[in-house]
Amino acid sequence: MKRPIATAIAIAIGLIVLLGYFIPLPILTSVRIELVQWAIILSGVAVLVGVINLFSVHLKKIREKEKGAVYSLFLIAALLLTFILGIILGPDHSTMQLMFESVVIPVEASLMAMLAMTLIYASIRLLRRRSDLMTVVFLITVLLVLLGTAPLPFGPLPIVGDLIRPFIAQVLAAAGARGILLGVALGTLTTGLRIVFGADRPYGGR
Amino acid sequence: MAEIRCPMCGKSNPDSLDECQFCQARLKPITAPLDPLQPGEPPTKKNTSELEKTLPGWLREARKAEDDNTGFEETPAETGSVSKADSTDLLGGLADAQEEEEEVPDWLSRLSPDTVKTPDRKTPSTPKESGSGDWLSEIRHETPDTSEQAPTTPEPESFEAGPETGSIDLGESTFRVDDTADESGFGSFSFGKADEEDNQIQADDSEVQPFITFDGDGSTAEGELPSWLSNFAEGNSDQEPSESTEPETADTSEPQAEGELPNWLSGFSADENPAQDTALETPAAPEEPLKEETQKAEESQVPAFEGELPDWLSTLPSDGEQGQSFTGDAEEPVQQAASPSEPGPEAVSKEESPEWLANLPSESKATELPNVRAFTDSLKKMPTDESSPDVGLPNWLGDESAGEPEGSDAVQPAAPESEPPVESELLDRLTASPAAGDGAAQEPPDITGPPFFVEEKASSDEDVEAIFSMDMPDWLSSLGPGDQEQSQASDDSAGESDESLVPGDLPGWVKAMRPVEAVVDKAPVDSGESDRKVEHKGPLAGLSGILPAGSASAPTHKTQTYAIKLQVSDAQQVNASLLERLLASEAKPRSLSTSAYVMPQRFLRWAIAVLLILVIGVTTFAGTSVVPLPNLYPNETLAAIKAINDLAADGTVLLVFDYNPGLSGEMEAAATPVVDHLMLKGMKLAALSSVPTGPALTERFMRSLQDSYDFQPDQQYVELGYLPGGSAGVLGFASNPLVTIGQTISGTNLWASPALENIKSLGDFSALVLLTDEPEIARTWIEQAKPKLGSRPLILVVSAQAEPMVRPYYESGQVQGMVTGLMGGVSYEKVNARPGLSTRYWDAFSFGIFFAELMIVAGGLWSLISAWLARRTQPAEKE
Repeated sequence: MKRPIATAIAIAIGLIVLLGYFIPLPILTSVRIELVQWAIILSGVAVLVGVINLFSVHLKKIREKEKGAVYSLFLIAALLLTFILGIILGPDHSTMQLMFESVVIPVEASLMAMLAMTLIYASIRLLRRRSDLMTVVFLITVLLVLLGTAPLPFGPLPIVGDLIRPFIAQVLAAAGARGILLGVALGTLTTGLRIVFGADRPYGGR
Repeated sequence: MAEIRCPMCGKSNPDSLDECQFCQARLKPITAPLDPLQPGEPPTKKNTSELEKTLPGWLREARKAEDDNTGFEETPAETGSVSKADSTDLLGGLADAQEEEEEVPDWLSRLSPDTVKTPDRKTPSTPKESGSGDWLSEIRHETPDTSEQAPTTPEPESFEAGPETGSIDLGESTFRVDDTADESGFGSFSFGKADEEDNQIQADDSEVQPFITFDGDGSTAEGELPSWLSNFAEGNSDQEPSESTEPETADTSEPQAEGELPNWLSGFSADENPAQDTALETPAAPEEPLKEETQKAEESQVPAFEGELPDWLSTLPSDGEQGQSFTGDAEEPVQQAASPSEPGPEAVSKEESPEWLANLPSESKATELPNVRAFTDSLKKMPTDESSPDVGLPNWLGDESAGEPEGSDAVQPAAPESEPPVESELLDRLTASPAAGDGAAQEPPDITGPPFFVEEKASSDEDVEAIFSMDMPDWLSSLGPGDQEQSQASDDSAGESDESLVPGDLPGWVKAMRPVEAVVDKAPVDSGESDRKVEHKGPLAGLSGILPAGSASAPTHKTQTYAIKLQVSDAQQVNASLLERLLASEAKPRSLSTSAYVMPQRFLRWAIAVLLILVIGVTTFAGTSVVPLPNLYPNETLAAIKAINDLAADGTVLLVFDYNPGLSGEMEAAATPVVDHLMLKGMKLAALSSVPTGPALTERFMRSLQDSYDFQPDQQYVELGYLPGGSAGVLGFASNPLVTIGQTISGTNLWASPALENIKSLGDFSALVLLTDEPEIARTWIEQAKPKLGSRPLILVVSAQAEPMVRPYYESGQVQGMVTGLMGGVSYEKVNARPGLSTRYWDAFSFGIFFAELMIVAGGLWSLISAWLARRTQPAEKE
C-alpha cells in the first residue's frame, strides 16, 4: 500500500514542478514554489537526521567495542560538544568560530596537503609500476600543465605557457568536460523523467 | 421400505430378505443374540427348534427323511442303527449341502451332548477310573455328563467348540485340531462347521454348527460321547447289544455306552433299513428341543446310524467286530446291517454313496488319510475298561497294532516308497464302495482330514490283520510306539515347563497331513547341506531339503564383477595428462617477488614531504618575490574584472561561499581581489552558502577583509546564512529569496536590513559571485539561478581543479567572468594593481610547482632506468 501512494505523490509533484516551467500559470507557479519550499525544509531535516544517524552508528560501534571504537568515541564527544555549544552560544559566537577555524580548517587543509604529496609520490613511481605509453603520455601532460600553470623561477617558458598549456586546458580538457557535462545533463533528465513516470522508485523501500 | 445393510458387502437390501441379494450372506440372525460364553461356563441350552434354519440343506433333508421313518423320531437313539434309507438320506443330504447350508446331517446332529450319552449302554467304568488309556471309554463315560448339559447348539445335537489350533475345511464341516497333546499323544480334535471367523468357534447356536470334540482320551470336550462313537465302541466289543439301538436294527449290537459305534457306522453293520434313515434325521425334527434330540441320539446311537451306513463303508473289509474302524470296520456295520434287514448299506451306497469320497483321488486320499498306525498305537496304549472288555482298542486296530511291528517293519523301511501304494489301496477300498453303490446325486463333503474317530473296542485279530495286511501309510507307519512314548514324554516335559500349549508335538494324523515325501519330489535337488538337514519341528517335520530361514536373504549367485580400470583411448589419455599438468601448475604456488624497497619508499615519501615543506615554507615566510608575475592575463579573469567594473554603484552583490575548508587557502587567495574590487566599487554584499561550512568560511573571509575596508555588518554586509536543499534550495532562493531565507535564528528579518533594501528577488541583486571549488555546485547555481538573474552578471571564482568543468559555461556565455585559482588571483591583483594574498603566495606556489615537477621528472627517469635494468636481469635469471 505504501508503494503506490509514494509513487503517486512523486509523480504528481514532479509533473507539477515540470509543468510550472512550461505553463506560466500563477497557480502552478505558486504550487511549485510551495513544493520547493517543502523540499528545502525536508532537506534541512535530512541533514539533522544524518547527524543523528552518524551519532547512532558510532555509538553502536562504541557499545560493541568494534575496531576503531576509540575514534568513534572522539567523534561523538566532539559532536556533542559542538552541538551543545552551538545551541547554547549560537553558531555565530566567536567560540564556535574559533573551534571551526582551529580544528576544521587546519584538518581539512592538512588533508589536502597530504593529497598533493601523495600525488607527487604516485607520479614519481608511476613509471616504475606501469611502464607503458599511456603512462608516459600522462606524465608528460602533467608536466606541461604544471609548467604552464606556474612559471619557473628562472622565468616562464614561452611556448609552454602561451601555447601548450592553454591548448591542453582549453581545448582538450574543455572538450572532455563538455562531453561529460552533456552526459550528466542527459542522465539527469532521464532520471527525472523516469521518476516522474514511475519507472524508478528510489523511495518507499524496494 | 425399510432396508437392512449387509454385514458382509455393506450393500443395502430390503428388510424382507433374509439373505443378501448381492453376496448371499445372511442378513438377519437366526436366533436372538446370545450372551457371550465365559470360559469355564457350560453352554446354555437353547431352543433347538429355532435353529432349524441354520441346518444345511442336506442335513435338513436327511432329518426329514428320518422323520418319515417310523419309530425313529421317538427313540432315535435307541435304534442304534441307521437304515439304509437313512444312510441314503444322509448321503443324499450331502448332495443338497450346497443348497441348504444350514442343514446339519443327521449323524452329525446326533453327536450332540444330549443325544450322545452312555447311559443305557452302561459304561462299566470310565476311562478315568480305569486309568485313562481307553479314550473311547472315556468318551463313553463322559457322555452322560455332557448330556446333562444343555447344549447351545442348534437342533440336532449340541456340539461344542473345543479348543482348536487349526481347521480343515470340509466345506460345511471342518476338522479342527487341537494341538494340545494328551496322554495318548493325540491332540483333541473336533469336527464341526466352520464359523465365519476363522478358527473362532463360538458356542453360538444361531450361527455355528454344532461341533463334536474329542479329547485325547477319546471323550468329547465336555465328556460327551457321540452316539456314533459310542456305538462304534460298542460295536467293536462285539457284544453287549446296545440297548439304545433301535429295534429295527437288531444286529446293531454295538455297544454304545462304551465306545459306541456311531449310528451311521453301526447302521452300516446292522441293516440298511430305510427306517433307519430316520435315525439320521432324528435329531431330526427341527422344532424338537435339542436336549431331547441329543438324548434320543444317545439312546439310539448305533442303531440310528446303522441304517445310514453308506455303501462305501459297507464295502470296506470288515473284521470280526462291527463297524469298528473308519476304514475297515466301516464295512462291518454296513454288512451287519445289511444282512438281517433291508439292504441298507447297498441302498445307502446307492442313494447316499459318498460321491465326495468317490471323487476324491486315490492319491489325495492316501495322503490325507491319517496315520492309522499312530492311532492304533495310541489305542493300544489306552487302558482298557475291565467292565467292558470291548472298550479299548478296536479289534481291527488292536490286531493290527499287534501285527504292526511286523507289518510296519516291513512297511516303514520302505515307507516313502510304499506309502502311495498303501494309501492307494485304502482309498481304493474306500472308493470301491461308492463306485458300486453310487446312486447318490449328492456331493459328499470334501473330507481332507484324517478320520478322527477310533473304535473303542479292539478289533479282532483278523480285522487287524486285514487292515494291516496292506501297506501302511507313511503317516501311520512313522508313528510307532516309540514315537508315541516320545511324544508323551515330550508332552509331559513341555507340560511341566509350560502349562499352556506343548510346542512342537503334533498328533499323528496331523503329522500325516503334512506334505509327505510321496507328494514331494522323490528326487530332491541336491543342494548340499540343506538337503541333508532334516526338519524336526513344525509342520514340515521329517522332511529334508528345507531351506533355512535366512536362505532367502543370502545371495544365490555371485555378483557380477566389473573392471575397475577405466577404459580410455590414447587421445583421451593425452588430454587427461594435459589437464593434469594444467591443474598442477595452478596449484603450484608462484614464487613471490620479494619487495626490497619498503624502506626506500617510506624514505621517498618523507623526502618529498620535507622538501615541499621547506620550499613552500621558506618562500612563504620569507616573503620573497623572486618569481616574476605573469604578463599575460587569462581572458576569463579580464572578463570578470570588466563585469565588476560595469556594476552600478551602491548595488548589492550576492556572494555565495560554497567551497570547502580544505581549499580555503586557494579560494581565499583567488576571491580576495574580487571582493576587494567589489568593495572598492562600494557594493553591498550579501553572503549566502549552500554548504554547511559556508557561513563559517564567510565569517572568516569577511573578517580578514574588514580590517582593510572596515565593513559594518548589516550596513554593507549581510550574512544570509545556510541554504539547505542543494539544487532545490538554490531554485527556491532563486525563485523567491525572501521566502526561502526569511529570518535569522534570533528572529531578525534580514531583508529589512539596509544592505538588502530593494531586494525582492534574485534579479534585484547587481551580480552574483560564486565562490566554489566543486564543478557540481557551480553547475547547480548556473542552471538554477542564472535564469532568474537575467542580465545580471554571474561571476565565478573557482579553484584550478574545477576550471575544466566550468569553462564550457564561461565559453557558452552563461558565466560572465571566471577567476581561476591562484593564477587568476595574481592576474586580478596585477591588473587592479592591488597586490594581495595571491601575490604573496606566488613565489611559494612557483617553487612548489617547480620542485614537484622536478621530483616527477626525476622519479620518472629513475623508474624508467630501473625498469629497464630489471628487464635486463630477468632474462638472465630465466636463463
